[in-house]
Amino acid sequence: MGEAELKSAWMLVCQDDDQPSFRMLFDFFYSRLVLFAADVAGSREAAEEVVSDVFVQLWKNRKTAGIKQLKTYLYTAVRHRCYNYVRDGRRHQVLPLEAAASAAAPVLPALEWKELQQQLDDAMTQLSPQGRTIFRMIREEGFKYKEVAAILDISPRTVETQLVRAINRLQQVLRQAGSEVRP
Amino acid sequence: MGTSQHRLDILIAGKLSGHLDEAGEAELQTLLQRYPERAAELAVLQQYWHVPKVEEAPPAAAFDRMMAVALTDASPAKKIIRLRQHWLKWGAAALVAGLIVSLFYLPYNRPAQLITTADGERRNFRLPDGSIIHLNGGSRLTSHMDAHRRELWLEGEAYFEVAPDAARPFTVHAADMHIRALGTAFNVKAYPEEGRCETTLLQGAVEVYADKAPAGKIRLRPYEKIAFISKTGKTDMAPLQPISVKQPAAVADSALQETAWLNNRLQFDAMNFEELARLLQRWYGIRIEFRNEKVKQYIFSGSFAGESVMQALHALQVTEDFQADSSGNLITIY
Repeated sequence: MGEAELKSAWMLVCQDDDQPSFRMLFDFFYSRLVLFAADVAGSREAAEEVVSDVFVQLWKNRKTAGIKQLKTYLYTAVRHRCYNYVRDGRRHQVLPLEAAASAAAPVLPALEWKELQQQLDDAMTQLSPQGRTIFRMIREEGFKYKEVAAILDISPRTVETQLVRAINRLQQVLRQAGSEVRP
Repeated sequence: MGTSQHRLDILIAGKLSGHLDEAGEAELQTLLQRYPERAAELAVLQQYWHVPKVEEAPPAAAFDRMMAVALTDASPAKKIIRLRQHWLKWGAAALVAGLIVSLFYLPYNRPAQLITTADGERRNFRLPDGSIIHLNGGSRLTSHMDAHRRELWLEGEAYFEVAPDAARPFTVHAADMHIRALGTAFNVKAYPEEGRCETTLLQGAVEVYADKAPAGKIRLRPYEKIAFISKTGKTDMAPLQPISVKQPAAVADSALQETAWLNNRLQFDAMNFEELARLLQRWYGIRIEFRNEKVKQYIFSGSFAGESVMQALHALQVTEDFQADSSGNLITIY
């Protein structure tokens, strides 16, 4: 869904209480928001609960909230709710261990693009939760540094630093892959 | 060498995320000629960056479960009515009990609520206790209410009309300042970037005290204002004497600078351009950048109501010489 489609779907929800449009928005945002929330809330169940709650509130307040930037609003709302969730300690936080480092990565003479891509994906899941969140928001959701900064309540400088760090990590993976290919 | 590699990292991040302007692009190309191996890497990174994301559909039942909750109407007022109908069947005694239960539990024991406004946005709303709050742009307000207290934490600017309730003190915490209201209307301004926190009282009475001196409470009378200057977290207690902002007059305070924003009026008096730009950014939800240090020091007084931001800037250009270009959300002043 493009920017314009999102906007018109949200307008239909606000003006005509249009549930099919609301479902479209839900389907479009749900998985990416859960992914985003899981990094803050600490578990997938917590993330799903938080995202559902945010949509419940979104529906209830559709007439009154005066939301113009739906996407930014949703990410910000999810983040706040995650913090409340963690603060209220409804569940004990068990932060999942980072996926075990792929020490036994297969050493292949010629790396296929698919495999390289997999290695790069793995490297990204091993970033710090904040680094991972920032990387995803920028790459997958097309947010600008300033938007990410506003949503996460950090400085744009930190966003840039974290992104540079993530990309450095990718470059390391590329260099390793390259050195495995060439000799 | 090390620094130009680091610069290259920043430029590559900017390139991938679509932040590079023409100058950045040119700088990137120059640096890539010096480090050709990084150019090859960048090509692979770009390919990886643009791999479409696998869209994951949510579980089919997720929407229906959420919607079932969203459609149950749980606004407090309706709950009370429903409770009443329910209790009516059980007779007068139970009705009284039901009302007591609903009165004590429904509006009071709520978890903290957070309300925020973006730059350029202003919101009015009513708290569960009946107090009315006007929240100015770029602000955040957290409220916590229970049977014994009403506490709010403010970053930014808000105007409070407090519903009287002697049993539950109404306290606003803003930066280093704490304002305890005693049934009243007052304005608090505490934007973190301004290093200054102000309270102006319009009606009733408030007590103000600072972190540093909880015992040194100051009681304001109507049309008095008090300001704390905080520098790097320290509270400078110098201007502890309240100053009068206006002789008490009509209650309609459209002429008072401190509360002009409530009437959608942006008012400023002998303010330098740098400060005014901060005000304009919040007011219009735009970004302003200065390319000329001298211009920042221009001093302006005036007031805007229905003007667009460019109209406002044109009005300022009548008194002082500067140029303003706008592109999208960003206005450059030089």
